[in-house]
Amino acid sequence: MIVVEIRDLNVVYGQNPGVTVERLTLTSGRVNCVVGPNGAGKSSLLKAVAGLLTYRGEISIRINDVEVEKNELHRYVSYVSDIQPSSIKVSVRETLLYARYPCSPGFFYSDRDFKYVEETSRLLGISHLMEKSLSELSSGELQRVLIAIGIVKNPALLLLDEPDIHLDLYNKTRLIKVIRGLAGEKLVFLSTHDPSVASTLCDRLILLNNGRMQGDFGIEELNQALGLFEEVFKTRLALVEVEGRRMLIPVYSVST
Amino acid sequence: MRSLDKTYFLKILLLDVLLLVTAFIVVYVVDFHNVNSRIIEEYRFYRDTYAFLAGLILGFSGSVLQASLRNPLVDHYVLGIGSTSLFAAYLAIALLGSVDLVLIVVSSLAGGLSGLALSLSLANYLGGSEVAYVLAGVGVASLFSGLSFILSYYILQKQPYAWALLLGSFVTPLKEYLPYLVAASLISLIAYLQLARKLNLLLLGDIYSKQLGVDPKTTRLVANLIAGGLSSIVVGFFGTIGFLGLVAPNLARLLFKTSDNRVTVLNSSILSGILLLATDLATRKVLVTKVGEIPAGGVVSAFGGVFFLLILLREVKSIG
Repeated sequence: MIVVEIRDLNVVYGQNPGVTVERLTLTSGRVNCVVGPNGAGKSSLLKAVAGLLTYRGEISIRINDVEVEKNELHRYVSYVSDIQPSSIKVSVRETLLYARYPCSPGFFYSDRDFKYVEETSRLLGISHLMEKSLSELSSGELQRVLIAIGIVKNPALLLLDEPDIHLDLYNKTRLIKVIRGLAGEKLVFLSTHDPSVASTLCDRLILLNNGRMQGDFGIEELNQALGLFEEVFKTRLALVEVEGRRMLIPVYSVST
Repeated sequence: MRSLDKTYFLKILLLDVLLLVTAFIVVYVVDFHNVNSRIIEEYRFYRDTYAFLAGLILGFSGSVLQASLRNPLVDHYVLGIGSTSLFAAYLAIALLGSVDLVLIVVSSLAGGLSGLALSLSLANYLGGSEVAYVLAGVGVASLFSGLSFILSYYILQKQPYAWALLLGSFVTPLKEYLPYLVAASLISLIAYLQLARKLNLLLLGDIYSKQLGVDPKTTRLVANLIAGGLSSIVVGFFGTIGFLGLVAPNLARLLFKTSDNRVTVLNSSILSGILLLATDLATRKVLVTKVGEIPAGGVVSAFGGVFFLLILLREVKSIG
């Protein structure tokens, strides 16, 4: 059981108004997401949890009731966003081996490193891409490689910053499957600005706007949240049920 | 691209040893076989050793600078370290009027590191793209090589080889250089063992290297200081040797088909050392009979420049 507890958090980053979260507890076993429009502070929240930003307040991460020390975060927490491939070409296999660094910082790779890279690439269906360089990949391929970078060190906590961005429908479907599969033993916490992705993929939706939490809903409570979502996204939304699952769908109406 | 397990790495190491042994034998046959004069022998020993060590250090610093800046187009020369450290060394000679070894080391170190800081801040101001680094560096480099050229007239009496140093030459292999160069090589070796895997993480970008437990800013600062400082000292002794530090890492990546800095830094250093030694030998043995002594740095620049243009074309094409 992995638990993230956030208390009296205040992140100020760049020009943004900052993110304030008074109290939020996340647990493993289901997909958690923070959803909100552009500039709501989703990335800042994720980065603060990953220890990539300085913040005021308290964020504690416990794995089976053992607290993760701040200087150990890099071993247990992965944060995945976009990547800017360097013009020095790095292959996917090398990238994944490099990303094993927290587990084996010695000069040579261990057998475990190679084993984990193999397993991770099979899990994400990128085995055929291993010799390609990062700059040669399509958006869908790159997104899967990015998640592989995140999980190859076998973290307890996986933070995905807008993983659905740039993906076509087919790749979005694949991504959703992969992420749902990971949520069993890891704590998955992702951000998205798309309510339909949030409601299809996630079991718990934290609505963020202007740096403040507007609500915290389980997927089963979505019917109470519809009005609030419409207000935050300034868009009409419809709550539909497809194959027994409730989803939020934007209603793009020209007349209104 | 192969993944580098221990066995593959040891094979590369074995290849390097073979290469070095071959180079050693060639140098012995060409330079030391049937030499009767003790003075000539000694001169050649220092000259060959220095050419190799200077190449080694420049190849090391080129590969480290490229990895830490994620840019295959830079080296100490392109980033303006070469001309600024030479300028500082000349300036110190001109102002203080003596050619003192410690003075040269200190002034070239100070000059080279300030030159590096200047081009890096200019490049960041220009947007930090690959080409911005080259443009900023070339600007700094041409400014200070021009100034060094002017200064070289003033100091000719105290440093008669000032002109040869503008292009990089081993014509004056002073005995006293040895401890500095050996120390610099040892520092490269230690830095290589400590930094190689961290540099790999820098290739993934700051946000990934930070969450994998390697602080990108500190690592880049340390890497740049070591690479910039060591190459400055080499320049202070032997002058600006252009493009070698740029070509060697790219050559290593091409040959071994990997971006892994455990391989790139090692082989860039060794290839660069052997290349510079070979060039110096060739200019001394072959060209000297036809046209007189040509600074090895000049020859290396000529070939390196062509290679640089090829990489530049490839990069610009892949960006556009």
